[in-house]
Amino acid sequence: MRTYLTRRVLQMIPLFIGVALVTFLILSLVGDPFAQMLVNPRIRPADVARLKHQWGFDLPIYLRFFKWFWSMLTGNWGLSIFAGGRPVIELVSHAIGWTLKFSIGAFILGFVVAIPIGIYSALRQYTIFDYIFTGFSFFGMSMPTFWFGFILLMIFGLRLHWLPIGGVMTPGMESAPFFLRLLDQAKYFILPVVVLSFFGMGSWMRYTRSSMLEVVHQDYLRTARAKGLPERTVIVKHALRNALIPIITLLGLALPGLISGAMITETVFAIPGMGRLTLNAMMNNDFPLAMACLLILSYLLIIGNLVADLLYAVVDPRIRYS
Amino acid sequence: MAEELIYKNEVSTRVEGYWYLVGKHLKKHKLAIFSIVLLSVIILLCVVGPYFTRYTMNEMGNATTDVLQVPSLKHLFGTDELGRDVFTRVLLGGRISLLVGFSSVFSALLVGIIVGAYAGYYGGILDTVLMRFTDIMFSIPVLPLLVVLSSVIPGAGVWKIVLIIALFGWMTDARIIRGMFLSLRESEYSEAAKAIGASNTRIIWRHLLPNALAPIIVSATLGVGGNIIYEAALSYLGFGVMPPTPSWGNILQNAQYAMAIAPWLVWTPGLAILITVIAFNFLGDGLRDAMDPRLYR
Amino acid sequence: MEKNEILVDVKDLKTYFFTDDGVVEAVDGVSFTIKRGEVLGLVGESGCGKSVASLSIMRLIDKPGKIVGGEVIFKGEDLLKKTEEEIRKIRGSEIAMIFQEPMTSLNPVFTIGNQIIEAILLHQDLSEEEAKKRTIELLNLVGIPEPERRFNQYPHELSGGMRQRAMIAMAISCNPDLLISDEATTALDVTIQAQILELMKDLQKKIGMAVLFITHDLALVAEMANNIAVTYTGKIVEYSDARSVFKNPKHPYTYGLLRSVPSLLFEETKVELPAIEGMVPSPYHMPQGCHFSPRCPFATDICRREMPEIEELLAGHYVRCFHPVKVSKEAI
Repeated sequence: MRTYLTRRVLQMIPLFIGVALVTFLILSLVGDPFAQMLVNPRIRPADVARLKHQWGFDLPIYLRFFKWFWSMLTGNWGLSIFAGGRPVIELVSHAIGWTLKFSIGAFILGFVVAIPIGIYSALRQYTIFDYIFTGFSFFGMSMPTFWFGFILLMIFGLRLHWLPIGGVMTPGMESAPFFLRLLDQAKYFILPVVVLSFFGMGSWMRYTRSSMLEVVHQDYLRTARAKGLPERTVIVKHALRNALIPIITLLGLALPGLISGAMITETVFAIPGMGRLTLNAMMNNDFPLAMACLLILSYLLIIGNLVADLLYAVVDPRIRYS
Repeated sequence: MAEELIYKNEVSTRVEGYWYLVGKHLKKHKLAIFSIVLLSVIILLCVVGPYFTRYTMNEMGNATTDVLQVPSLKHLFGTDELGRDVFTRVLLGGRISLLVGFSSVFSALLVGIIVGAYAGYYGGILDTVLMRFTDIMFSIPVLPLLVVLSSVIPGAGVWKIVLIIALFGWMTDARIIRGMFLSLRESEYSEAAKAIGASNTRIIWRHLLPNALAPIIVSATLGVGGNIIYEAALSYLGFGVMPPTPSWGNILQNAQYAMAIAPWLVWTPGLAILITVIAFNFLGDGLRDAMDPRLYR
Repeated sequence: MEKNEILVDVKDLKTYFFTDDGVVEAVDGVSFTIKRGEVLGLVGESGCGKSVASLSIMRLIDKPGKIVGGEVIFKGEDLLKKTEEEIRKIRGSEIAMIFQEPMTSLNPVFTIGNQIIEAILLHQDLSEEEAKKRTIELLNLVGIPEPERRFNQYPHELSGGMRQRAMIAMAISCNPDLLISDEATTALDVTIQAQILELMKDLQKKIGMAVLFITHDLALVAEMANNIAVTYTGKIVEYSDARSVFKNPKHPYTYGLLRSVPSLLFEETKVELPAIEGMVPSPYHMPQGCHFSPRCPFATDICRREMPEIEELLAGHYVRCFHPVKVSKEAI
């Protein structure tokens, strides 16, 4: 296990570098970010010059990357152009909290709903239950998230006035006691979390169902029954344990979808998260901000995949001992 | 002792080809057939329909009377904030969205197959490089990447969007193909072909590829649906197809502001996307079942 | 209970599969008996229903299959009439089964030890410690070296032969009265096959359990079986003690099978190996009359029209044929 762990962690390093390289190359097509910065009256030319040096932009191109990469690793992410020269790291750290909060919420919701339904569908194949939920999962997989967000907003926000139509907090709530603030935030979070998890629910349900189906036809279940085990034990102990393996890999793959989806959901619901920040950065050609955002999102993804791989090794002994 | 035996059992002497069997299995899948019909109707409507409506894409009616009209016989889907007929725009938008969907999948597939086949077959450095590269690209979340590419690459045409989506998409296909080729390479088909002296190229294209086709076809069908959603998302965010050219995504972009008073602006393009993508998903799923290799052992 | 008591008495067992493409009569009126400590070889080509018959005894038949008739009298009681609860108590403890593919028949995510202990704890009143001890004894008994180490290993860490030994250990863990071996050696190399067979013979004598040995390989049954039942398309076509079947096969199918086995002692090496012509008919297109008639060199009109009943041709030797072979064969 330890060797597997070390191997996987080591594999991450070239990935980190590679991603940074690609990001750097793509964004360097934009042109001279520093010219833009100089134009902005709120940014002091001295800061720009310092940044230029720290990022190695006064050096030839092949050295630039390394200096820039080092700067990023040490937290020197530059100044944001469109946000009035505020340090990028400040903007990102504010935004990332929101994104993580409701991404994780969406993840948990999707997980809690989709997996049991998927398993149950597999065990009750071809029943009404199965058909209904298969239909539901197709529906979920084909639904454009932003549109779904609109629809829910229209119904719950505009027509029924049950839930707010955007934002993350009712104005004035910042000073309220913790519990009330939590309740207030919950109101704002319901719709975005549901919307974000919807697509995931659809595909996870399907995937769980099919991996459970595969497991259900395996020989070792027949052996378990031949030993005299009650059906319940056969399913819960022997079958489920094996079905868990592909499910865990699935969850690892779900991360990119969540991050991409977050971008849209944040826009629809006006949540000040990383997705919206990235968008704003792109729309304003804010090179430093965009680089940081893209990098952080990618690194989150890589780490998430690592966690998934580790979980996978925990669950499947064939990976550990081979 | 061993007299001539009269073999009375019924034996089917007809050699059933692979595609024939696939077709047969597919027909059993009612939903898939329904999807094919549905999609044909949609495509027909979008391609031919606009020629039959009374309006053009940009025709703005009278600023006071025609703006934001509720759907009626005059305007099947109502009008938008500029007085344009939504039905026509949705049909035209369909043209664009479908075009983007199909062509991005097609180009991604073309590149993906070539790269994947050679990487899978030859292995070695080519393979390692390819795999590292796809690993890296997979580590960057899709939509942010698309958004970035869109703003970084100059130009504003529909084809730019096709290019971007294909750029991201070929890697998934390459991976699948490479995987298949890796296993096929060790199979008996390959050995047999080599034994009769076939060149490597010939082996790849004529022998191995047809066997790898099934997952490609499934992936492509599902991919069209997926790419339509990506295009819509991009356009909605403002990084896709630019107005005034309509696409299902950018119609929704404007719809957000008029949501409260003109819900049909939200429903119509959205439903169009939903129905089309569901149809592609059903079809892809049906194809996957019909081409399940376990049925052809 | 005395030695010669009948342990299992299968009477006219019928198990049909109700599929979309039609009804498959996988087991169509099969009867045989096994006495305590006896070995019955159930022989036949793939798809002739022998596995289905054994699964029927254990009541492990699932949709679309269904046991539609007959009786399975085990220790005086009909298993087909028992409740699910009662059957579960019998499975694994009084009747045990081992399967063909040890790799897929063992759960890959649990250790060997874990899986064997599970069987023991389920049927016997032992503590975990005691169960573990017993498991290690069993692993030893089946010839697995370093049993303490193997106890904690996963199936994929063992070789094919060892996995099958582990399966056997699991099966005999509760001292069953009957062991059903469903092509247990088919997937193994020839040398390993021989070892496993030796092991089974050994255990059978030591524990005194009866064995229902299912295989398509005649050579294997010759070694082990007291009696042999030859099946074809869901029916038994010949049934007698092993010696009689080999020296004096009466059914043309059995005769054909025996003739087609290459013998290293065969003097006439220039003679072509006679094979039975044709193929086993598809279960959806069974021929009329005797199912073997299309391939039978002795078939006449009556064979193609009617299905023969099984009859006791000689003492203790049953055949289902209108024209049993009259020649006696010096075999093996």
